[in-house]
This record gives sequence, structure tokens and C-alpha cells, in this order.
Amino acid sequence: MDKLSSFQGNNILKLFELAKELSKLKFFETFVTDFQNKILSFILEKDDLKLWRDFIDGNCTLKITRDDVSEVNGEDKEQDSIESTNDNTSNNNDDVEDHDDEEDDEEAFDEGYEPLQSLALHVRYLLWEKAIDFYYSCKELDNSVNDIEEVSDDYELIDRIDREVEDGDGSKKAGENEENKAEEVVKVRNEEDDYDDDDDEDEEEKGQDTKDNDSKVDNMEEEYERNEENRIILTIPISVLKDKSKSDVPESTAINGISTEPNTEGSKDLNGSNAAIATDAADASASTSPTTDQSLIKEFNKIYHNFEYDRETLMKRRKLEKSDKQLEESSSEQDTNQNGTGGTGASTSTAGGISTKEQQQLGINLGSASHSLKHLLKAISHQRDEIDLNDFELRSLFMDVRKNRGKWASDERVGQEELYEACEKVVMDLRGYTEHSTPFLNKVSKREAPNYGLIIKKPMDLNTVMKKLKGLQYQSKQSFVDDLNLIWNNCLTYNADPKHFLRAHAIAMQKRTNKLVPSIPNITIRSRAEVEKEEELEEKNEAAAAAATTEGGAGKATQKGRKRTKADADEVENNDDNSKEENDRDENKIKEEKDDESTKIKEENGTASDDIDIEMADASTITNGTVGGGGGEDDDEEEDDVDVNVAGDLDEEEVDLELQAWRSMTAKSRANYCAKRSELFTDSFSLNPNAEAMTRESYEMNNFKHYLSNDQVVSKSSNLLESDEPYLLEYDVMGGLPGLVYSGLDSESELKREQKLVDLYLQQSGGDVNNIKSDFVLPLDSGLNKVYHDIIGKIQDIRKICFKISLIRQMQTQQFVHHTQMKQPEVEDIKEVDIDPVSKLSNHEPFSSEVQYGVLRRAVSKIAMQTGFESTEPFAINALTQVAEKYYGNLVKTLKMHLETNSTNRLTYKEALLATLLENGINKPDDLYTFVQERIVKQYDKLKDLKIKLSNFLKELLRPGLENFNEKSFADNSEQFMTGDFSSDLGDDFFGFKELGLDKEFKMLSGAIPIYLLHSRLHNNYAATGSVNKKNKYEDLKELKDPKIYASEITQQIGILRPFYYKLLEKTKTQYIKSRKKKGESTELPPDDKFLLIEDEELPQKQRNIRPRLPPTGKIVSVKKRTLANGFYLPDEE
Amino acid sequence: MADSKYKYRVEIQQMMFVSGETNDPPVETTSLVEDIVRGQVIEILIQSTKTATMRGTKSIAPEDVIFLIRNDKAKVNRLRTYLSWKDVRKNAKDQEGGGTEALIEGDAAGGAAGGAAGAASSQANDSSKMLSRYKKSKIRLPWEIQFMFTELHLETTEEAEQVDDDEREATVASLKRLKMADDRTRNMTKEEYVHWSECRQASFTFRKAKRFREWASIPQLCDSRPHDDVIDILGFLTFEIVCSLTEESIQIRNAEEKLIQKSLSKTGGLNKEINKRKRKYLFDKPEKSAKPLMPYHIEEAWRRLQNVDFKHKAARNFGGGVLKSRTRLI
Repeated sequence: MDKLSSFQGNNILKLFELAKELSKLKFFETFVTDFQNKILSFILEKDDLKLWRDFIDGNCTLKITRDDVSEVNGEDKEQDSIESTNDNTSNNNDDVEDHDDEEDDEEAFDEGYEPLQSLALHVRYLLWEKAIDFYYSCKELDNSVNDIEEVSDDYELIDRIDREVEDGDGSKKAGENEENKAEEVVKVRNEEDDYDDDDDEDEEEKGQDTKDNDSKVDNMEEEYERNEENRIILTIPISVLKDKSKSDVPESTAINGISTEPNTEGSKDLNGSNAAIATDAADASASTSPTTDQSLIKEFNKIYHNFEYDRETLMKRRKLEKSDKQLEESSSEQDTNQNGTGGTGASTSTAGGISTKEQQQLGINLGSASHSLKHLLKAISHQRDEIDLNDFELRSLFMDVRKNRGKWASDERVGQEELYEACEKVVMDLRGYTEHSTPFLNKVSKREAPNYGLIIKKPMDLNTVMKKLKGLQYQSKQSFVDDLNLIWNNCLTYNADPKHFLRAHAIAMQKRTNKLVPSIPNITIRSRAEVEKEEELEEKNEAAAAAATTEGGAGKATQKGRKRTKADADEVENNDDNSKEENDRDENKIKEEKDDESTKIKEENGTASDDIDIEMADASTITNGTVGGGGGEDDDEEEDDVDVNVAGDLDEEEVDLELQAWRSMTAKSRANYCAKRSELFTDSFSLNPNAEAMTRESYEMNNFKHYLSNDQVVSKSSNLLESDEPYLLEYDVMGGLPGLVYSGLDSESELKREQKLVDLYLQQSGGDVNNIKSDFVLPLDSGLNKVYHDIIGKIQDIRKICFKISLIRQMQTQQFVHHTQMKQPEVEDIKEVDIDPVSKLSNHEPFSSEVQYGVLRRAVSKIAMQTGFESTEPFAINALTQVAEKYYGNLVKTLKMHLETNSTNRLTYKEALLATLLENGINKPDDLYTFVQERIVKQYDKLKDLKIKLSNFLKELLRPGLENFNEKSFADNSEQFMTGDFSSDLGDDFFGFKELGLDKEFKMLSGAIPIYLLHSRLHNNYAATGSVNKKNKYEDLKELKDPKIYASEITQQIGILRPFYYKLLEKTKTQYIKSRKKKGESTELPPDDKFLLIEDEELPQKQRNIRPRLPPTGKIVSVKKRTLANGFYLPDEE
Repeated sequence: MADSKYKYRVEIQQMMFVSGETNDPPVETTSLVEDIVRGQVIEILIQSTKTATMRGTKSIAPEDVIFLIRNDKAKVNRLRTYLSWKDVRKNAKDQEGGGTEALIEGDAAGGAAGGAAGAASSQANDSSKMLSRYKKSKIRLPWEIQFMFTELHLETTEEAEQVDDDEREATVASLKRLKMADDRTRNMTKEEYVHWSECRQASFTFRKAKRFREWASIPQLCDSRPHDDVIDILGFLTFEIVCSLTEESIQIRNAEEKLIQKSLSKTGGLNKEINKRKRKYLFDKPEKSAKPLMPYHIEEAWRRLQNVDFKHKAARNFGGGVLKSRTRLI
């Protein structure tokens, strides 16, 4: 970037050349005021390095040679007329505004040292900073056509300067040649530049101007005088400067043409002057014509300013806000009062509903109608970008729509709305003029000025005015204006010292007031009845005065006009308008009183200087408007003097009109920015950690964009009806941050995408999601998973067999088996189920913790099943899973620590892995292998073994039930056949005869065996085998045949047994008789010596007494699981 | 006082001798060992009482004690064989009266188990017919896989004789032990060997159950009298404890001596002296290596055996806090 070195260094020659080039490119025109531009171009025209040096160093004083008006080109008639009106009006002393105009002119063409110095600063600033921007923006703008050339042009320009300097200062000719060349280039460029977004018209005009200037400069004598401070006195003929206004004025008239149209009735001269005034006023105040506002704001980026006033602005703004709050509070009080009385307060109270802030910011006040428009407003602000209209147009549209719906609207009081709206605007503006308004916001307190009450009899302040306005206490414009002026005059009276700082403020405010006042329509509020009366009167006196009727009929004709032509108009008014006259009289009275007061004060104090005297007089002149011409002029001059003083005091605040306008217009946003920024810091200038972060709103980004593209420099506020503020690039910290390109995903589009993916997947898999391989489904045909599965399957099989065995046991021991007992517990086959099929989709993260937790959980429960749990509590599995999770986490953490250690003794990967395993309880990797081999695989083998054994056992148990199974067997339990209650609901091969191979063994045709038949057989069989088993116990006694006892032998037994045998004999007898009866034989008993006693086993079932006894605990215990001690062992085979 | 407190000096000396300590250990050492053993026994009793109450019974069953050492499969297996042989012995005693003595003579040479269980061994071949009948009362542990299910199958004799794969690990361990015993007895004379094998029968409980109960304060610790089997198991376990303590401390002593010799060889002066003294004389002091086990050896061994291995603290890794652990059973 050495191309820019000329900017970095302070090479005056280079800068001069650059400035010249730039001025040819019309660079400065966009950035400095016209007046300054004139001076600058004048200096550049001189083409004198010495002059330039002095200028840049700030060593110049400006002296404007005052040419006569006649010297101005006669061609321009309008200019002429203005000049003449100026003259006229200056003679016509009662016109305040004209006086201001004059003053502005004077200010604009300020002579002396300061303006040039500031200009020099500005130019330096422009050269160093803006020039680069300018190149850049040129490039940007011309991009569409032929950017490359342009860029090269830019560089050429800089290059050329460098070359020039290298060539040496001496070779002026060469330089001139160069310049000519450059000029040519520039001219070509100019033609190209015509399509720039700058005002073409304007440029052309300027072009003409410069040509004019050329011709003029040629005629000028060029002399540099040096004043006593060794400053070059730059003498510029006024004509050079004047032709600016030439080009300016038609524009302004054009703008104001519309607004002034209704007034064309009045004298043309006056109207013309009014127009001129209006433009000037607009320049500074931004209150009257919004179109000028906009154009003015567009120029703002050309204004050179610094930040040194920000603090002040901030303080003042805070004061204003404070007073606003006070005002609001008091007004709300008022509102409630008014509501209480139920008077006209309805409208005001609704207005009070809107926050004062809004009131302040709204260009228009929606008042009571705001509710009805709320939705419209909302809709508009939502689709703000689609509306072509700019904010101002929109606002005026709204204004039109609800013209007569303002908060001041009142049917009873004619003209109130217009007057009060205007008045309110003025007050708000004055309050918003924070640079000067702060001292006048509130009443002067006794603490501040103890003797204030003595000097000032009728204190007034802006808030009081506001309150009065809200309380509808003003009847006419005049009384309102009087109150305003009273404020400033009070100040000027109290602070008699001409150097007092408040005076400057008061005067500034006064000026502003004077500028703003014309915007208030001259209306006197009257009741409707009066108006109607008046109209009747008018009809009667039609002939009397035509002019008066028109004025009165319109009701909006400027009072000013009437006053100016007082001599005639007064009479007419007296005739027509009695009430008005009365008003006037009242006012006059008040003013007289005031005058009296002021004179009294003067007398009492005696300290007031002549100046003040005149000021007072002046003030009264303004308000009364009856003071003679000559005196007025004098007054003006006096005031000017004061102004100059003040200007000196206030650090040349008055110097630059545009700067001033900039300051006042941006005051609020600047204050806001500064306030925001200051919140970030504590009182001790350190960062405030608790401060809220600055956030960027989307519309603020728009502002920045618009600023870059240069089409709108006004920041759009979030609230549609809030007044726009000029966009301040250098204050907006966040504005330039670009937004994120990625717009983010909303749930809807995500859903859509997912649906798409799902469809795709379904297509691929042919409708079944399970066809697609999932990471979470482990293969069943290999690996540990297979072993685990087999084990679980085996366990389930064994459980089934166990159930059958236990069922058979129950059949053996119990006579009846309920069919619910036969229901086999359902055992589901273990299937590998995809834990989360959705995670196959590419927009799902398979490694999300939930999914992975689910997978691990499944693995853990598989292990739990493998270890033999039939079912588990979910809590238990969850706890186990978490333990496992932690363990795996520990594994990884340990490994990570080993790999990331700072130790010099670094482990290799293998070592690290081994160490990790060791530290987590696995002494060597072999352990894992042994675990699998010894525990898992072996478990499977064992289970397989166990299953075979158990099924063999089941076979053994079933065998007796199936032995000798033939048709005869059915006879035993014909009951079941009668009822048909033998079950087939257990399934065909419930006991799995086929599987056990028993069907072949017993040559069964079908596996189906009536379960009850089986039951009875098993039961009977068990009873038999049970005795066999019992016998087995007494192995040694096997051979022994217990002898039968005959009834006759009882007496031979030992005595202790005899009763037992007798009892048994009885039993045997009854049994014998019974059996005999059944057979139908004789019931005679055989003789005792042949009558065998019955054995216990031969007794019928009932008498055998095999029922289990109730245990001493009283609890009936279910069939106990067999423990090892009485498990089944095969009897010894010997 | 000391006499009344330490009652097993002789037994401990014998056990230490069996496990390799050749010299007579001082009283301090045996007392320390006894204290440790008693602590272990008490710990076993407390823990098994806990498991017993969890089962719902008050008296400790053999399974409860075995459960505590279930992870040491070799030991469990030895215990099982010991118990089954105990059964055999009891039955044999019932049957033939003096049968045990005959069995004891068979000695440990070919036996499948160490400790007192070794008493009955290869002689089984001769009397296999007779003994096979009793052998089937094999100890079954409730955590074996067949008890997972509600029903049990009939056990045939062939099954019972099948060598469980489970025991392979145990047999390896027992083979190791046998080899160690073999090494120890290799250079022994006949008399020495007889003495050694007599020492192997030393037990805390054998024929002195009452003393043992008092010593381990069993009545205070348990609600009801534990099963006789439990006492037997405890006797077996105490023997094991003393053995492993002794073996560990012998290792420590050896390592210590190695270290001393290393430091000695570094300082040259002593080295020469040692070289000079190569020849042995009748009235020489006993060799340094013959130093008996001192209490500090035992303490160190105890410390090492109490070391919590990684397996038992892995779950607490990265968890912070103090790792609390019970006394480990040796």
C-alpha cells in the first residue's frame, strides 16, 4: 500500500496536488459546505503552493470584500429580488425573521481567522481520511460499467502525484503539462461520472459554477496581504461566494413553492421573503420542512465533526429526560383531575396514555385514534421493506388519514388542533435543542438563585409552557409565543452580565424560537358559537371588507401579515372581529404590564446595562410588534454584537451552520449511543462486568447497509412512527458487523428433510426398515454375541423343561391339578432389535448419549439374562448400566491420561493400553480370553449338558405314565370322558414326547395324550414307586418278609400292641364286609384263625391318612423346592 | 498372661515349618502370626454371619464360609476335596474303626489335595471299591449353574466322577503346591520327612474344637453354634493363612538378604572376609541365610497380602475420595 504513502506523510506539495485533482473530481463538493467549497476552490484556483501551505497550516484569515449588490450578475433576477427583499425587510424593522436571515447571511460569510482554520482542518481530514473512502466508493459505484479502468485511474492519480514530486518542484512546466493531462483525464472521467448517483443536475450546475468562477477569478486581482499576526489575509470577493446562493435559491423556492401557495394572497414580497426564510430556518432547525431534513441528513456524512461534544450532549439529554419524566408525572396528575371533572379531559387523558417518549418521538401524534390504527401499524411495520414509501411519506400519509383526530382535536374549540399541534412541535423542538435548552427546562429553584423571585416577577420555563399547553390554557399563538419569549427575557434580565454563559444560551434559544415561530399558524381559538356568529356577521358585512372576509373565512391567514399592514388591517379587524380585538387588547395590556415591570426592575436594580435595556425593548418590540423601525434596526445590531461575543464564548459554536444542524439533529441518537457505551464502564473507567451486552438489532444492520449503498442515510427505527434519525456510522459500534450467512434451521424444514430421508430409506429397503443393517444390531452368527444368545436360549429351554418337571411333580403328589397350573410361562425368544432405527438416517447422530446409553443398557441386560436372571427391575438395570458406563469412562480416561501425559517417560501405545487395563482390574489381556473361554463358553457347555440331563430326567418321569398305554387305560378314568374335560388346550405335544423320543419308544400314533389320563396314571404310579422308594430305604430289611397276622394270633402279641391290633381287626372286618357287599357275596366273616389282618397299604385311600398335617406355625406352605439333601438320586444298582 | 493369650505356638511353628521355614521362629513371630490368624478368623466369622442372615438363617453354613473365598478357585477346590475326604474318613471310621490310620499312612505323595486332606490319597486305588461309595457325597455349591433352575436332575455316579473342567485351574495350582512340597522334602532324611509329614497334620481345630471356639471367641460372635463342618473349614483355612503368610515372609526375607549381599559386595572389605570364610567349621555361627523369620517380615507380608488390587478399586477410579476396604481374607 505504498501508493497511499502520500497520505501518510505530511508532504504538503503532494497533498496540494492531490487536492487539486480531487477538486477537479468534484470531490470536495460532496463533503464541504458550498461556502467552504467556494473558498477552497478559490484557493486552489490560485494554484499557489505558498498560499496552500498557509491555508493548510491554518495561517489564513478570511476577508471578504463586500461588493455591492449591483455587482451581482444581473441575469439572476430572483437573486435580485431576494437581495432587494432583504433590503426591504431590513428596513422593515418589525420583521424578526428577516433580521435573522440577515444574521445568517452574515454568519455564513463569516470573516476572519476561525472559519478558515476550521476549513483547513476539514480539508486535512478530508484528504487524509475521506479521500480513500472516496476512491473506494467511486470504484464501487462504477463497478457495473468498467471498474478496472476506474481502479487503474485511481492508482494513476496517486502515482502521478508521486511522479510529479519526484520530478521536482522546479519544473513547473512539466507539472503544468501533467496537470493538463490530468485535467483531460478528469474531464473524460467527469463524463463517465455523470451516471453517478449524485445529483446530475447539481453537478452540472456546479460545473457551470466553476466555469463562472474561472472567468471571475481571472478578473480578480490577486494580492496577499499579511496581517500583524503574519497571517495571510485571503481576500475573496463576495461575488464568488454569492453565486452559490444563486444556484441555491431557486431550489429552495421550488421546495417551498407548495407550502407557500396558500399564502399567495398576501403581498408577494413578503411571501418571497418568507420562503427564503423558511429555507434558512430549515437549514438549522429541521423542524419545518422534512424534505429539507432529508437532504440535509444526506449531507451529514460529509460533515467533519469530532466527539468532544458528546459528553455535554449526553448530560444535557439526561437532564431533558429527567424533566420529561417530571412533566409526565404532573400531566398525568392533571389528567386524572380532568377525568374527575369529566370535562374536555377525555382527549388529553388518552393522549397521556401514550408514553411521553413516544409523544416526543412521533412526528405526528396519534392520540385517541392510536388504538384503532394499532393493527394497521403493526402490519405495516412487519412488511416495512415491501413498502416503497419512505418513512416520511408514510407518516404524512398517516397524517392525512387522521388529520382531525389529533389529541388536541375538539369540536367546541375551533382551530385548537392546528394551533396546539404546531405549538407542541415547537416546544418539543426547543426542549430537544439540548445544546442550549437545558437551563430553561425547569423552574429556577431558590437554591440556584435566591434572589430570583425578587428580580423576576413572572417566572417561566419550558415545562410550564408544556403544562399550560396540555391544560389548554393558550388561546392564541401570540400568548404562546409570549410565554416562550418570556423565558429567554427572564434569563437575559436576571443575568445582566453580558459575558454570562446563560445569556448565550438564552439568545440561542431566542433565535431558535424566532425561527420556529412562523411555523405556527396564526390562529386564535374561538368557540364554535362565536365562529358561527361571525359567519353571520360576515354575510351581513360582505360589502364592508372583502379582504377581511377572505382572511376571516380561511381562518388560517397569517396574523403576521395582518399585523404588518397594521394601519389598514387594524381598522378592518376592529370592525369585523370584535373578539379578536379584545384578545389583542388583552395581550397588549399584559405586555404593557410586563414592560412596566421590566422598567421597574431596571429602576430597582440599576445594575442592568444599556444593553439589557435595549434587549428588553427589543423583546417587547418583538412581542408587541409596534416599535418603530429605526430603533429595531439598532437593536438588531446590538444583538449581533452580543451574538458575536457569545459565539466567542461558546467556542465558535455558531460558526458552521451545517455542523450546528448536525449537532442538534443527532443530539438524541448521539446521546443514546454514548449512554449505551458509558454503561459498559464503571465510574473508575474500568469495564463493568455486569453491564448488558450491546446487541445488534436486525434493522440496525439495515441501516448500515443503506448507509453503504448511500441510498438512505436515515436510520429506520423499530417503531414505524418514531422520527428518523440520521445514521451515525462512527457511533454505531455494532452496525458494521456482518450477519451470519447461515440462516439456521427451523423445526419445520428439519421435519421435511427427515421425512424425505425416511422415504428414501423405505424405498431402498423395500418398505421394511429392518432390512437395512444397523450398527446397533449385532450379528447373531459369530462372536461373543452368538455365545450369549445361545446361552440365553439354552437357559430358556431348560426353564421350560423345569416347568414340565415341576408340573409332573404336582401331578404325582396332588390329586387335582388346576388347568391354570398347566399354563406354561411364556418365554419370548430373544431377538436383536434395533435400539433406535431412526439413527440410521443421516441427520441423526448415532453417537448421541441417549442412543448409546440404550445400546449399553441392552448389552447389560443381556449379560444379566446370561447370568440367570429371568427378569430384572428396570432400576437395577439402569444402575448397572451406569456402573458400566462409568467403568468404560474410566478406561478411556486412564488411556487418555497415559497418552497425554507430560512425563518424559512416555509409554508406547501398547504399554499404555496394557497399563490401562491393569489399572482397571484386568491384569493381562489374557484374562479376558480366559474369562470368555472359562466362563462363557464353558457355561454354554454346562448348560447343554444340563439340558440333556434334565430332559432325560423328564423322560424318566414320563415313562411310567406312558407304559402300557392302550385302549384299556381309558376305562380307568371314564369320568373325564363323560365330561369331555380332558384338555387339548395344552397343545398337541405339551410334554414334547416327540422331542424326547418317547413317541417311538411307545409307538404312539399322535403325541396327544389326554392330560388327565396322564395325570391319574402318574399319580397312581408315584404312589407305587413312592413305596418302592421307601422300601429302598430299608435296604437291609429287604429280604425280610413281614409275617401276616391272623385275627386269632392277636392274643399272642405283646400286651402293648394288642389294642392296636384289635382296632385293626375292626377295620379289617368292615373293609371285608364292604368288599363282599360289592361283589354280592355273603358278608360272613371267615373264622378268626383264617382271617388275615389287613395291611395299612391295602386300606382304601381315605383311611391311609397321607394328608400333610398343618404345621405348628399354622401356615400352609407351598410345595418347597427340593434342596440338595432330598434331591433325586438314582437308587444304587447293585 | 502371654501364655494364656497365645495358645497355638506349637501348631504355628509346625505349620511354618511345613511351608518352608526351617528354623524355629521366635515367640514374637508366632504370636504375631497367631494374632493375625485370629483376626482373620474373626473377620471370616463376621462376614459369613452376615451372609447367613441374608439367607435368613442364624447359623453359619459351610456355604457361607466358602462363599467368602469363592474367588480363589484353587482354594475352594481344595476345600471341597478336604470336606469330601472328611466325609469319607468319618464314614470309614464308622465302618472299619481304625481305617483312618491306614489311610493316613498313604500320605500326601500322590494325593489330590494338600493340607490335612492329603492324608487320604493314592491309597484310594487299593480300596477304591470300598471308598467309591462314599465319594459321591460331593460338596455342591449353591452358586453352581445347576442350581439356577427350579428343578434338579438325578445325578448318576458317572457324572459325579467326571472331572469338572472347573477344577483344571485348581489342579494346576495344587500341582504347584505339590511341587513346592516336593522341593522342600527332597533333601530330607527319612526321619526328617516323617517329622515334616507329622507337622502337616497340625491344625487349629483338630481335636481341640473347644479351645478353638474359645480362642476365636465364637460364642460371642455367633448366635448359634456353627456347624462342625464350619469349624473344620476354619481349621483348614487357618492352616492356609499361616502357610501363605510364611511363604510371603520367606520371600521377603530372601529379597532382603539379596539386597544386603548386594550392598556388601559393593563395599569391598567385607567381600574379602566373606571369601575367606568360605570354608565352614564345626563351630561356626549359623549362616546368615538361616536367620529365622522376624515379626517385621510377617508384618511386611501381611501388608503385601492386604494390598487392594486394581480389580477391587477400579470402579472407584476417578471417583475421588478415600477408598475404604475391609481386611482381605488371605
